[in-house]
Amino acid sequence: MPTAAARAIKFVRDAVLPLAVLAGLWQLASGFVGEETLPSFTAVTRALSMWALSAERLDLLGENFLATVFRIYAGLVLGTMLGLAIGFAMARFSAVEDCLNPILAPLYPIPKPALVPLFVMWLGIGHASVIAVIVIGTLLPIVVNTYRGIRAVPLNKIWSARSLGASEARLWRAVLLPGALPQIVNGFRIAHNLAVVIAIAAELVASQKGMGFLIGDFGAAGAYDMMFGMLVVVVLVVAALDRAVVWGTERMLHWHYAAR
Amino acid sequence: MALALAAVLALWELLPRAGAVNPVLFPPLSRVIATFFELIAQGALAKATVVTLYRTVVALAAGFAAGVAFAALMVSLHPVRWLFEPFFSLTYPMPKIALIPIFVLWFGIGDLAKVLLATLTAFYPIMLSTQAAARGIRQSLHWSAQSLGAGHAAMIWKVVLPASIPGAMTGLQVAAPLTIIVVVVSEMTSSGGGLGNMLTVASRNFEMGVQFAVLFTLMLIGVGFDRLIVLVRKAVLRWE
Repeated sequence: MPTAAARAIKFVRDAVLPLAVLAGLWQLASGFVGEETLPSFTAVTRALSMWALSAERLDLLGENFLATVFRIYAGLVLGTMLGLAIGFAMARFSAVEDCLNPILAPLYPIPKPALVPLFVMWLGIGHASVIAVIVIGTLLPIVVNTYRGIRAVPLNKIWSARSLGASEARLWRAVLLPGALPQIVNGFRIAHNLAVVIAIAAELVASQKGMGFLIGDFGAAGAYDMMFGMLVVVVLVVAALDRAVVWGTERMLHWHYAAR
Repeated sequence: MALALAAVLALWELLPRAGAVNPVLFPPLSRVIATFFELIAQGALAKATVVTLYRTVVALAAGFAAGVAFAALMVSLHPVRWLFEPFFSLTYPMPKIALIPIFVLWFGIGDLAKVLLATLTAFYPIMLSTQAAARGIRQSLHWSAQSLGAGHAAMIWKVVLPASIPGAMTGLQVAAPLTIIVVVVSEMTSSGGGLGNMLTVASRNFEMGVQFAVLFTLMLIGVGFDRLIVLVRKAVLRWE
């Protein structure tokens, strides 16, 4: 087990240092092509810190940040719950599978952000239309992975549980759900990435709020330093959300493996 | 049971006709189908489809070439890997569509910006998946090749490259739907033709039937690419 100091040194050498070198290259490239094409690293950090230091502007950033995060997770939670219910029902009752499969299958290959204009027509510009598209987009990978996960539980496990006298409820809680969980988690990670893509795309296409909207808005206003600044913010926020999901789901799976 | 699907399609026809939903916002199925064939007859749909397909195919091909080449650099040159690995792991989860305003600033609103952004999108999964495959080559393969007298070049061409192709193909499979999304969203945000632009224009003119027709076309394209890549994979990887 490496000590904390050794790990810190490794982190600086293998993560901070290369990123710093790239930031330096960015600075050089900016000097080469000009600030109006590629604002330099220092100009972008300056713009970002100016926005962060003014309470009013920070409020505006926070508001748009929260709008995006709210849309992502409202859509993801609803889509996951619906997807789990549908996936379970499809795996358990073949009649449900026969009914829903021909309806859901054609939705799968449609690029989901293309649904945004349609839903804007139906639900107006704002949270509802973005969330609705995210629900549809996240639901499908959850359904597919839940269904496959449950179907992949070995039959002999199900038979053993039944022969030991497990009730239907017990069978689900003790055998089917834990057995399907790794695959469901896989689907959830895909759904999470999709939710982020749909949210940012929807905000670029038709929205007056959110981080995607801000990037476009700064660009349209000619504030290129802040356009790049917002991009850096989006990179960091999305990377953090992604890590959080991976970390959280891994812990969840560990708990399940340990409990078995 | 196709019965459920038939029921949904029947409702799609009957509800707008009965006035239960606004037929302007949700046109009945028969009118959507009529619009679809009208658009085909006019040639508008085919024209937009060709533009979108062209952008997607060029981006996938360029992304594949760049991804495999960069993966080779990352695997064979340690400094390249050291420099770029944290950057790629930081930027991988970010949706590349967030770069649309920047690519428009740099490359304008024509083909170039759209194709380049889609290429970047395809690049990521292909590069990472190829690199993972190349690094996962069993040591025993290296040793056997070496003991058979393979030099550095032969090692790369005859051992590392063939062993990495399955990874590259997996990356391509992941990249295709993402690339289609980026092309369509780029088209939605700026003029310059394509199915995404057709969608935006239709929504501005309240032509819901056109929107459904475009979505149906996009669905066919999605299925088509999926099938095509499976076929390519089978053709390239005969030994798998």
